[in-house]
Amino acid sequence: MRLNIDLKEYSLDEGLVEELLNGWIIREKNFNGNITFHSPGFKHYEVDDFSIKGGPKFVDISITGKNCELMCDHCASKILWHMIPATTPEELWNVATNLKNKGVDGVLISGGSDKDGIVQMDNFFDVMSRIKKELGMLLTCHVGLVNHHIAESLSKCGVDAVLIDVIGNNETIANVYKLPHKTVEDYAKSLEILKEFNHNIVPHVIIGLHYGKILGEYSAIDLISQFNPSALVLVVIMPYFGKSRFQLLPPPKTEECAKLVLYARLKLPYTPVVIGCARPAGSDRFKFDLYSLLAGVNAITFPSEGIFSIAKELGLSPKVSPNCCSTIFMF
Amino acid sequence: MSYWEHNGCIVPLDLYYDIETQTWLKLEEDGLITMGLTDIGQVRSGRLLHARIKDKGKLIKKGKPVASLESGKWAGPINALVEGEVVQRNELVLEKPDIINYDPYGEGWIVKLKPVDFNKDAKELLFGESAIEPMKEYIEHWDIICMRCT
Repeated sequence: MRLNIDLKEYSLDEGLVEELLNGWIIREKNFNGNITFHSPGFKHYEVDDFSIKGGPKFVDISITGKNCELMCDHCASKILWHMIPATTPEELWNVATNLKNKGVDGVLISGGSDKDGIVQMDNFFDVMSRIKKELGMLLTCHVGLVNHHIAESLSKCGVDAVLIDVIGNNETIANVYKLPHKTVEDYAKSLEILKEFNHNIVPHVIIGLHYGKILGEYSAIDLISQFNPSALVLVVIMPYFGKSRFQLLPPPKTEECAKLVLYARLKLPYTPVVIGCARPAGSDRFKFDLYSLLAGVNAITFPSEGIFSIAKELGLSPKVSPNCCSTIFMF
Repeated sequence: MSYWEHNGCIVPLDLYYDIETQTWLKLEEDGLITMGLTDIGQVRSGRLLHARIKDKGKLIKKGKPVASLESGKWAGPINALVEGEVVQRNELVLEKPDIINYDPYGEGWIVKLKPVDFNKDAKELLFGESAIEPMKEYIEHWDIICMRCT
């Protein structure tokens, strides 16, 4: 297939572009060529050709504040630092009602894990249920490993989607996540349990998680594809977030990341495949976003400057959303 | 350099300011202007991870982006405080954007412009001591305490 604009000025790998367009065709065929650009409210994001005006509509809350017992090498809990802390049920209710009064429509409940990779949220289920039922907010929950009790409780709360990071390599689970007593099987089991309770699952795969190398990502996508996810979110490792050992490591090459995006697109042709908010800033991000656009993703969060315009030039009709990208399957 | 300080936030008194965007401007002896982010601005944005600055020779209209900065929680433009041509980009900022967090008024300057009509465009900016009161209001409104990476 041929694109209607010349992409030469962006110095892309032409052979790779040819390959990626197989994903473009899937989006054309199965999703009418639609693409959404997300800008959730936890970050002010404004580039020349894309911004969402008005106050935030969807924000992240951490029920453990900045605390995480795992302190994985790639994150060291920094992902929690930008979230609104609400470490008691009362605090969570106050935060949620305040947000609702300020016009926020949805929240992601997240938090740090314990030493078994579980986000302990037992004390918060009642309030989560009230957030859904009394405040009528969109409610998503980013969990760690789950057991039957967590999956059932989340189901009773009426959460709209359950987000879970899936790792496809035991060495990565042991070394990066500090969970030597867990394996890929435990992640498979978590997905299975969540589906037992009919959850909308939105697995996340972190590209370059194994110290900047691609190792278990393809297996993770294979695994995820067996559990009928409502969407798949792909993010790229951000060295700045990691421990000192991680900070100087480069993320995988953009072209390698793009190949993984294509693999996901081909593996999940009827499931929204989304580029999530976490990926390194800089010129490589523009390239990665452009490759992803060509590979037929359904959404990109915080698109690099120029991507929104290129999407329009390519004949797509981009939608914009102030919500978390994990809610894409709901709209 | 004489300066005013509030909650740890430094405001040099020889610069022009735009309070809303927390950007500063210095009129140099050769008629060029230098622009950057204030101490308050660098605190609000957090550790900066990426910077883009418009190419040398480009004419930028007043209020249009002359650069863009990105941190973990914020990404946005640095708008030209006066209309002018880009004559120098701070390569150090491009290479190591968090120099702005360390030294917002010194090594962390962002861009130099050759202004088209400085006197006309600078009318809306606040110079030196006239910026103190609005800065104080801004700092207190947003409850800002300035901390500089060392």
